[in-house]
Amino acid sequence: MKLKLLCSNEFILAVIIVILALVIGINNPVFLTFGNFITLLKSSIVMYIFALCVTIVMVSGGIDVSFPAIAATSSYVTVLTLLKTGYNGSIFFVFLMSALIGMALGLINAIIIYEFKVPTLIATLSTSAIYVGAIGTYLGGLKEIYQIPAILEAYHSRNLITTVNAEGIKFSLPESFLILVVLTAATWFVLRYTYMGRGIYSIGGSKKSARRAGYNLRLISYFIYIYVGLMSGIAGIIFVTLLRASSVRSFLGQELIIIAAVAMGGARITGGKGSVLGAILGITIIVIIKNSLILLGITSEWQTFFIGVFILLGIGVSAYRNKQIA
Amino acid sequence: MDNTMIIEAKNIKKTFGGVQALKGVDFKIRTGEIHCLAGENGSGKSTLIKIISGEYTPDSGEIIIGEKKYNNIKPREAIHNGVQVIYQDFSVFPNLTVAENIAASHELAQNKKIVNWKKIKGLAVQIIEKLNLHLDVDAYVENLSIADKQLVEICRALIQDAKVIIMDEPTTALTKKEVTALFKVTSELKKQGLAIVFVSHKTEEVFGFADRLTIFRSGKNVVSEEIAFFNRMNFSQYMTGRELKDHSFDIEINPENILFEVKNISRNKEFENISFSLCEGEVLGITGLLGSGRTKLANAIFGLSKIESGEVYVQGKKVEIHCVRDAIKNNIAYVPSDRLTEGLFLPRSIENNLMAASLGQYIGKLNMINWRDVSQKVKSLMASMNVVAPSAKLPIQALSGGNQQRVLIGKWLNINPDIIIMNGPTVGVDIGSKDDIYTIISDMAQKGIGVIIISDDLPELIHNCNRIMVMKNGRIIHEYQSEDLSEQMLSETLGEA
Repeated sequence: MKLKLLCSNEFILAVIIVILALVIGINNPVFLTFGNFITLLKSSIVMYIFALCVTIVMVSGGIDVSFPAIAATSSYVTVLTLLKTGYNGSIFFVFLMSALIGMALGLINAIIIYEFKVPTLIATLSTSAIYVGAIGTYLGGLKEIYQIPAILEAYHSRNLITTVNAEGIKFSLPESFLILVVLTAATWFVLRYTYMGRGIYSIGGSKKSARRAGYNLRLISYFIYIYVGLMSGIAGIIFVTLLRASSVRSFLGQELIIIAAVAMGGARITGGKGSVLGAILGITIIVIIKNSLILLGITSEWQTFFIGVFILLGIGVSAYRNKQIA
Repeated sequence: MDNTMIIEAKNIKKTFGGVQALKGVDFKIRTGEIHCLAGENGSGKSTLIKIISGEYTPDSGEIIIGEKKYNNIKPREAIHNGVQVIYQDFSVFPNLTVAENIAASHELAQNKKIVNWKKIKGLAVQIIEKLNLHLDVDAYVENLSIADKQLVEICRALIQDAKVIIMDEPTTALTKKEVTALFKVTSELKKQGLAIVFVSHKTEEVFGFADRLTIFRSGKNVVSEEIAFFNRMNFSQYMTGRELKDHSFDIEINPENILFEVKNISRNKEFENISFSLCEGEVLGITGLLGSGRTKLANAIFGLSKIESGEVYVQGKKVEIHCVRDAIKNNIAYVPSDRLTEGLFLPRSIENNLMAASLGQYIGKLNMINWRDVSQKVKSLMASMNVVAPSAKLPIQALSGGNQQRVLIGKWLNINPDIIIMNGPTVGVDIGSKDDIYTIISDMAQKGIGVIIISDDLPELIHNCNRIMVMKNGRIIHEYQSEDLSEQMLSETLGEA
């Protein structure tokens, strides 16, 4: 039992995180301050949500690269609608609208993937190009919107915690952090404690066996991609409120690094394995490297290099340990 | 023994693409019995199992379970009535724990939405203890041996209130020890009033473990009796039947025209001092138990491994075969035993597979492949090999076993071989295709090709070969002319071998 825990991916990643934090913290005590901690959390909310999307698809044996495009599309359309209508009611409906658009786009993915049996990577590559292209052509989405709607501007300044450090710099944790907590808990619960979630693991392990065991493969596939659409839509709005700007471009290009981080967290690219905790830890490592190497005096050009090294390390160590047990 | 019938299949008929797989079969399963279902490949055993489990719909006939009659039972109804099938290819989830594999589908069947992990573990532990097994419920199934995976499936069947567990060739991948352990479990189940049906051809298992034996041949139930009724003699008699025997060979073989000859060839630990010759138009059979060296011998002749000593002659000329290329140069072709991993390029088209060995023949001007000639040749080959497919562009994995095998043979015939070695030419092939392949073999012989067939299937050898050699421990221990050989004799030689 003890051996199992020590060899688990999650444990290895946690050790890497602690070592990273100590090394950086010893060299630059700023890293270990509460303010920095909040900054890190704030800057990674959207990545964490994306990691949940990647996890659920990877567990089912697929690769989805369309979540940034869905986030961009649904949030951009929502922002445009808000600007046009000047809606200034409840923020809930703003999230709802973006989530619904995201779910609709996810449904399209599900139909292509399940009904037409298109491989997930190809299907989502195509749909993400289509979504982004359509927004660019018809709605001018490749331009940045700097003046975000008032309702989002207002949400931007709603914070859970605010601290001021000795130099008088303000650090605040936005309210949208709560949404991340809820989505994380929900995804964890679905994957661990519902037969829908176990069905996702089952089809990731063996589709044939899942069918013979009585799982409804169509229902499960639709659930996966619609749920990913929902989370992407929500992440899109959060991103806009954090950045106080909306553009399709700023979303794109993160998908592969997030997939790699989730794989580092123990998700198997062939499906059937992966956990919410692992995904969160994997992203955490990426976020620390992205934001904190600079505190060590390492220039930003080295960031991607170190991200690559740590992903290899994270995946390699656990693969090696597993091989030794087996 | 309690003689209550659990399941009765009556006059089941099933046809696949013009071939009658089941020609009106009756089959009865009683409570508390271990029932062995035997028969050659393609005799209809698997088809019947799939009809009982609801995977196939019969053309006619009925399944009676208890009081209920079904003309067309659905998989869910079968499971509901306690019928559980353990397929050869398993239905486990390698990525999940033993506990979840055992208990989850039971919970799912009750339409549960939320997972109760304590209950899942409890159910699994309970069933494992009931059967006195040593399985760690927290282990992942991918780390288990094949035998343990089988036990996981048995546990899962039990948890779903199985009354009959049907196992399709459960012992093929098991060691002797594991086989004994498996049957210990099944006899435990028998005591609890379940019926076990297992498919096997292995005499030791049939006589060692079965209470009752049913033998299928060519889609018919030829005998179904208590095990005491059988002995090794009448077992092989029922298995093989006699209708194939009257086949006669009308090809004149001139013993002067020796095509191929090996003299005292050996390879360390694989085969020793093998000598034989093959004439034009002759069909030579090689048989022997698994591990007798017959496949190793074929591999070496085809250049897949090195012949360490001895001499090989093709058309009277001494040749050296160091690699496959040398073999092909000498017009030797080899149809391997496992077509899926050794013979075919599964995702590629029929055309690609047919041409894989002979594409070099179609190089024309400017060193380019003449695709028109290729596709013409593909058409004529598909016709002569009787390959049934809507298009030559179809991936080969979409075809039936029989069609795949004919494509594989066609591929080698297209190099115009003088000698063709076929290892298990009809393994996993349906009855209709089997006959087609036999016709192809005799056509080849008629054209003067020398054919070597390696097979376990004794009637197949007697049916097709002029001469049969029996191997044991890497040596040839007997050689027979087919005319003066009966299946019993051959089977007994094999038994003592």
